[in-house]
Amino acid sequence: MATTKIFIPYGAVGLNCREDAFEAGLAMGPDIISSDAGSTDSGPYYLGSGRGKYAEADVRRDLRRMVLGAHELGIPVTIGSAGTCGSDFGVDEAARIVREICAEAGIRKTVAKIYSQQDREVIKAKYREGRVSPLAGAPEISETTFDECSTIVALLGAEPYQKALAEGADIVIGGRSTDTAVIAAYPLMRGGDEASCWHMAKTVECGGVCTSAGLTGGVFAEVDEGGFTIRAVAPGATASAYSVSSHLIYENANPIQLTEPGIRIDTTGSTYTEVSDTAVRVEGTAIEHLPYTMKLEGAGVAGYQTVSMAGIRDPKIMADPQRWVDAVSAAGVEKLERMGIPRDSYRFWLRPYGYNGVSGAPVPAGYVPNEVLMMLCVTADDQARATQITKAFNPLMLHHNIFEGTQMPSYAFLFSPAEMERGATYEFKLYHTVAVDDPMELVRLEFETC
Amino acid sequence: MDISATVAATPTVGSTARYLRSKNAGPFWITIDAFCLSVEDTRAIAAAFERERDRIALMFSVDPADVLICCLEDIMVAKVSLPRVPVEGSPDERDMHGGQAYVSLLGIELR
Repeated sequence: MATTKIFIPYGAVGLNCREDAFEAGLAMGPDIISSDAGSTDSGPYYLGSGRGKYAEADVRRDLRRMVLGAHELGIPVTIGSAGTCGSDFGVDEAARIVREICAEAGIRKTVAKIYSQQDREVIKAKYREGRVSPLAGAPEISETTFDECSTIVALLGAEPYQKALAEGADIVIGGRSTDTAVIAAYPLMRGGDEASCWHMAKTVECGGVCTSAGLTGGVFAEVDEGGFTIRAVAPGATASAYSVSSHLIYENANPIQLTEPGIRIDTTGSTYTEVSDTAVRVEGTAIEHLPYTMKLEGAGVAGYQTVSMAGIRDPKIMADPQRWVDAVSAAGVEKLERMGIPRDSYRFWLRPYGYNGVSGAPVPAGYVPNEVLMMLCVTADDQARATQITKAFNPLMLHHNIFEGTQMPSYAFLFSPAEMERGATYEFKLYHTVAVDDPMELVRLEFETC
Repeated sequence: MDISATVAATPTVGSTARYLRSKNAGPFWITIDAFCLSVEDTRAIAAAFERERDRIALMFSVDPADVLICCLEDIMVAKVSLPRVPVEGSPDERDMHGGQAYVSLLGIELR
């Protein structure tokens, strides 16, 4: 077989790649350009709402360079977890942008769209059959958990990408996928060593981060029957055994093993050899085959939030900011009770940032901040109620006096109005796998020519 | 960090590691990496994490049995992974990406 050469320009589509690095990557003669676009790292909002994290203009810039660069070389493109969360909406939006890019450039492409958002009734049926299993650290769930999810996705493995490419797609836009599947799919198809394809894909899933170039520097990988080589792309960037091997621990609880749909690799015996300042060869990764499962992600609305904040620098209050926090909290709760809003109908936190807002932990003895930002966040069942409660706190946040016998103080609001509505807040509800008989069972593949 | 101030005292994770970071490993786990300057330091920090397993579990409100400690000598990294309580992005979240969690471990003494 021929070596498969892959150019991974982005840590995520929308995060950009330096112009000189992108040109250098194309000049290295890739067989495919691949990039993941997804993450759960920025919280449950994206999955819960089905929306993407990056600005459309940034996504468009990155997709345009991929599509036009691949067109120039006559090679395919794979994009995984479109729109951050990989919802059907994310896939459709990416497809729309690609359609517009092709029309603008006057080129025709076959685009495959792989949908992995799930009908909750289908997943519920799997649950009843005992085919939904918790991963370590998963919350307890019941049938109603699926109803509480506004979005459920199953993470695609490599097979749907391979099917799309085999059926003639020039550009494959995947819904939620494992970070690695979108990159491993093509070299696996072309007979690359299986363990090496997956290990390579895990190494490059954040783009240039596994080299000295960082997030916007791009990276290049070559996979053959005996292993893989990672190459730095950006001019002046280097790759070392350390930069390549140490990336495996990033955002990864288990740094030795990596489990993907149907397989698990083990890097205990992997060797990292520096071929040059810019290239590292990796061999010796082991693989075992497992029953085919897909990871499920689900998120749903946890309430609606409104926030408000006030700055304080009065030294008397700085001597013990917690006293102010406790006093305002108690006064607010009491006021709301009087208004007929019971304590169990809302949640709130009031934190002194600049004191212990980040940790919530006790401060060292004698610590006195110069000033703090008092931040209030109210969560209620609907937006109007969250804002009403925050407004009830407003005079307290502005004027509450914790010292007897003095005139009414005022604190430093930053904005008018002082309240900001955050909209729905979501929470992750699933951390499970679903067993399937076939990698395409929960997947829909559609083609369009644009 | 001002090294001179810590030289005389018992070395800690914070005074020994070259660099520490933490990050979510998916919404339900958090992982903390201590990058070290030598294999000896890596072993010493991993051993300290092991000795303080119960205290670390208490800091993060998890079961000690769920605290995963790895000593990665090849890359000189001592690593702690543990379930995330509360889950990422809950209404009471303080650190969405888990990026400041490592600070809790800086004061652990190596003995």
